[in-house]
Amino acid sequence: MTQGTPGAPPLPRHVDDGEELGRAVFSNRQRQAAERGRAPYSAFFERAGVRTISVTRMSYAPAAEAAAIGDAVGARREPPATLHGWLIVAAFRVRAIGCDAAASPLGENPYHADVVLPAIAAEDRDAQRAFAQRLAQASLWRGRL
Amino acid sequence: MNSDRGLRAMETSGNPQPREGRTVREPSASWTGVGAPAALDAALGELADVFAYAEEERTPAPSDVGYANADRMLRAMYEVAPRRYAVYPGPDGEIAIDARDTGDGILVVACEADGQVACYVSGGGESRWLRYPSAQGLPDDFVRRGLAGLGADIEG
Repeated sequence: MTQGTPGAPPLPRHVDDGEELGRAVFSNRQRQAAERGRAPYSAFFERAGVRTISVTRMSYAPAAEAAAIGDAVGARREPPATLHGWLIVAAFRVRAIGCDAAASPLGENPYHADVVLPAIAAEDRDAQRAFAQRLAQASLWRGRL
Repeated sequence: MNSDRGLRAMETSGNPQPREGRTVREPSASWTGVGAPAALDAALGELADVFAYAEEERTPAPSDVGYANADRMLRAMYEVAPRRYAVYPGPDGEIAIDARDTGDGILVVACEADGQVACYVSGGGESRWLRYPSAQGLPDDFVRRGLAGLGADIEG
């Protein structure tokens, strides 16, 4: 168990299939496409060789807190970026396409988790891209409040 | 391990044979497209915008050959399957032509900066892809079957 908001129940270490995982979107272009149900795969396409995709456990993170965490991440970007919202993927969908979801709490973000791609994605850019496309297709847009 | 989980890349021998990757199961065959010429106009408008888009996203600018391939592929794919295609630049300098349905079906053609073209077809629990050394001969049966396997177009 890890601790989220003080006073709130601790977060389970295991990401349950029913959990919603949110990929933060800082790109206005990605936001516009996602609002039309066409999130580009680039939202889930990390650098070559990277198997983990950072997400937030939206089922546990209070909306205001998730937004504040995203704002802090955006402020550290070069140039600073605005959090527009999240692409939401259910953990069971992540697993259904052959990836995994694992809690990876950070000091400033106890709700942090990773979508973990299979090992082949680290070796094969095409495989990595194919997983990114399937994650994008499985995602739903949720704007920040 | 379930054969649906994970992707396997296989390389066919000899150039210019496409390089293939796949999982399992054939996609279901049903398709209903929007069929409106406005859909092609919208996609061509997005294609024309890829350089500005890439600059805004701070990703590598698409190349002229990638752009020419995307223009040709988009028109040819529309002829095969007149539906809405989203067009956008990717983080590797590629131009993506992206068709998806209301289920889990998605087909992406990536026209890369070096002139290669990769086509990805996912749906029904599997992904397959082919990488081609050029756009010559495309769209081929793989692309056509992928398009035919997509379900109803999504709104937007």
